[in-house]
Amino acid sequence: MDVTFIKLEDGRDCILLDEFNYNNIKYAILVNSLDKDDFILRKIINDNLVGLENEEEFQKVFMYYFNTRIKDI
Amino acid sequence: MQKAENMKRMYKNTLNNSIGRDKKVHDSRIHRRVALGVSFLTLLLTFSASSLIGCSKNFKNDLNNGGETIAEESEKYYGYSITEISLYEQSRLKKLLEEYNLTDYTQNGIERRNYNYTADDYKKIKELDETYLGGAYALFNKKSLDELCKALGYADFNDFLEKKYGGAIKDWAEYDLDQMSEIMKNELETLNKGSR
Repeated sequence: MDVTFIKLEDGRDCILLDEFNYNNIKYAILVNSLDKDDFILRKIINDNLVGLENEEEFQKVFMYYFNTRIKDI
Repeated sequence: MQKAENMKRMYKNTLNNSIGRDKKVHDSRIHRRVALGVSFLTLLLTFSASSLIGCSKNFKNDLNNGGETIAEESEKYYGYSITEISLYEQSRLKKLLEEYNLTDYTQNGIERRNYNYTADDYKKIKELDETYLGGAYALFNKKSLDELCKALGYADFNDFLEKKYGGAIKDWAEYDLDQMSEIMKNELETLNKGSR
């Protein structure tokens, strides 16, 4: 199985879990390869993973992803 | 309550990891092929993602209800939540398709996958049975799901529901979740025994 690793600016080796588009911006969800509960959400702009603006953006993107990605039976 | 506190902590940690213009790194990716413990890594990723899902879905309720919502939902299927089981089902199906090189699909953004295969292609998968339909329901688009059902001897997915559950999707869903959580439990026990 192929797994994609990305090293963050603070040195954490993270695994890329998923990528998706929201409002014409691409976002990535990562998890720390050494800590399965340490998650990171970033947006991808000009080949950089950058932090989100504020908690409001975070909540909108966060909830959009989980409301649309996961099928509730 | 402990679980609720853990979820809150996870949410806040994710928030801190994610916001702030000072956080910036070039998108340099390294691809590694993981040969050993593939199942374990798949499950690790599954539970990683599902922990975050549980956190997001219940966080607002949790603030008001003191964690009972998460605890009640999580214990329903051998301790696994619906979202954990759904992710596991999708992982399991993807792994099976990869083993048979059935990986030609298209996907537009968040839409479900359109696999470019017919029932005859899926019939070649000797392990294919109805326990994979839950994952297919979440992962496949309608056309692909119907083709998979044809490989199992049904006209389409609706025909499967009609013949097995009188058309009641909720009955199938409940049975499927029970069945899949038992498979997950057995697989984890096998993995744990193997790692000792």
